[in-house]
Amino acid sequence: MEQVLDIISWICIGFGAFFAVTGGVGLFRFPDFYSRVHASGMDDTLGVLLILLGLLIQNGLDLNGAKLIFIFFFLLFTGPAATHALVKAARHGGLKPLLGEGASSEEEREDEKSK
Amino acid sequence: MNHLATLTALMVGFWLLLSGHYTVLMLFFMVISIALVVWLSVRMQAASYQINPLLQSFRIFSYLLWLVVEIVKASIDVAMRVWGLKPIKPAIRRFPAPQKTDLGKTIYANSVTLTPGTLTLGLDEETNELIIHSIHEELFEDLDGGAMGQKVSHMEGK
Repeated sequence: MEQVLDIISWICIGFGAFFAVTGGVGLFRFPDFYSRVHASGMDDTLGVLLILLGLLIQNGLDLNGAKLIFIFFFLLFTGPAATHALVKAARHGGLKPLLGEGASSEEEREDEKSK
Repeated sequence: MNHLATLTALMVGFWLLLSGHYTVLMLFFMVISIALVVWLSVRMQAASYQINPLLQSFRIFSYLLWLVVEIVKASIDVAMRVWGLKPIKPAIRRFPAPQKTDLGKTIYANSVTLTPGTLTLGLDEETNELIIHSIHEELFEDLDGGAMGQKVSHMEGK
């Protein structure tokens, strides 16, 4: 039984790490500020959720487990607040989002700049 | 008064879960700190113009569960777009925010932001619309039905 729980928790932590890395890669691959925020949003939701779930299974439901659950709920509230602050600052600064198909590749954007 | 009792009970539960030290001295500190927080929130409520029914309702827990499922689905979708398995095509659209209270609108806007792939840029106060940025137009379809908005309104219900 303990071994089964161990395996489940490592699967959770592994997938959590995968989503965290994916968020990081997205931060580089996506074309502009606003789409990059989407990538980082994955880190503070599913990445954190899976890693905390894995740790919770490792730890069991005691006082420390309750703290892990609290961390998740607090992140649900603070994550969007930080994102809104970032996005509001960007809009206030007059940063225009890239829209439509043209935004999909870095090279095309360079082409348009040179025109 | 009922509201204060709920708040105090929540605080006591929260403190006991966080602490783990149940000596008399620590419990004494608990009473003092909770009394301070309750007093502060009474003062703050005197200044706020909306009493929110959301905190008194347990619907928020079922909503959070539903939201986590949505987050998982949307994260997988965005992960595929990161690795180039699906295209990206950023777009901005306006969606109505039918919630009556400010807190309801905030929860709706935050839920949209929490769901990967959609991001609330702002709230147009005149038309009561959320300005939402999305990594691909397709993701607007999830919002079109208004399922998320309706669930938030339902929480406000009572």
